[in-house]
Amino acid sequence: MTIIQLLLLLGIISSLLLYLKFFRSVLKDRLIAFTLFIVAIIAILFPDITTVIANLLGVGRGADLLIYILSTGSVFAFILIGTRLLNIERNITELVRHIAIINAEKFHKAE
Amino acid sequence: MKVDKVWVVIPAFNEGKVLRSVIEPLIKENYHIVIVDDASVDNTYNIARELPVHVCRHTVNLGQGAALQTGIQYALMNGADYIVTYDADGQHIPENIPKLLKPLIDGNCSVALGTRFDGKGQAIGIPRTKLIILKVAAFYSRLVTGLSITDTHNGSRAFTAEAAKKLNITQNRMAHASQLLNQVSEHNMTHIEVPVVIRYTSYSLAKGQKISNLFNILWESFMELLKK
Repeated sequence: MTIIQLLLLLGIISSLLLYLKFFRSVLKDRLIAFTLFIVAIIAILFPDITTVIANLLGVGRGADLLIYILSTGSVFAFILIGTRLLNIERNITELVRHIAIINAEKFHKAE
Repeated sequence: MKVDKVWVVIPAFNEGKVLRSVIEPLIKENYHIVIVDDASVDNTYNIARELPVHVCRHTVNLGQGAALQTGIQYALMNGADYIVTYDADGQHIPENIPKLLKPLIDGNCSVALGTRFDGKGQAIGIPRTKLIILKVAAFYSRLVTGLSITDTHNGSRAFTAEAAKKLNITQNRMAHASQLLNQVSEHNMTHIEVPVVIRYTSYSLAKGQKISNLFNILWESFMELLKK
C-alpha cells in the first residue's frame, strides 16, 4: 500500500465515523452514504478498477472519470444545499413573523 | 377623506435617528401606523414604542420584504381596509399618501403604485447612477411582468385589503419589489400608477440600496426560479 492510499483511507474512514456520529439520517440516506463510502474505499484500494470503468464509458483515465463525477456531484450538492437553506430561511421567517405579531405592542386609539 | 381604516406599514431597520421625525407627521393625519422593527441594533424599537403606533419586532433581521409582509399581515388582522407602505428613512413625504389612496377609495382599482418618473412624480436629489439603474430595472420588470409601469422599485404603494390578502412576499430582502409586481400581475389586480415625490437625503442615500447589491437581487431571483 502506498502512503497516499493510507492517507485517503484514513480520510474516508474518519468521514464515515463523523457521518455516523453527527448525521441522524433516515435509513435510505444511510444506505446511499454507505454505498458511496464503500465505492470510495474500493477506488482507493484498487485504483485500476476506475480506469477499467472509465474506458468502458469512453474516458481515458480513471482519475479523469473521478473528476467528472466529482464536479457534477458538487453542482448537485450545491443546489440541494441551496434549496435546503432557502427552506430553512422560510421557516425562520414564518417563526419570526409569528412571534412579532403575537408580541406586537398594540396601540389603542382614543375614539 | 375617511382615514379610520387606513393602515400605514413602515418597515424600519436602524432608523433611530430619523424615525420620530418621519412618523410624527403621519400621526397628525390620524392613520393607523404599524412600525415593523427588523431587529435593529440601535434605539429604533424604543423610539417606536414611545410613539402612538403599533410596533412589531422581528427577533432576527430578515430584510425589508419580510418586514413588509409582517406589517401587512398585522394590519389585515386588525381590520385594515386600506394599506399603505411607507419608508422609515424619510424618503417618502406624507402628501403622497392621500394621492395613493384616492383611486382605491374611489373604487377605481385595488392597487396604487407610486411612480417617480411619470407625470408630476419627482425624485428629488436622486444621483445619476441610481436613476439609470432604476430605469433599467423598470424596463426589465416591464418585460418580465407584462405590466406597463414606469417605476418598478418604488416603496410608495397602497393596496385595498382584498388585494393585500393575496400578497405573499417570500423574498425577504430586496428582490421583493419585483416579486410584488409579479403577484399584482398574476392575480390580475387592477392597478394604477400615481405620481409621487421621493426625496433623497444624504442620510437615506447612505442607508439605501448600494449598486453592488444588484448582484444579490439577481441571485435571490435566480434561487426563486430554482424553487419553482
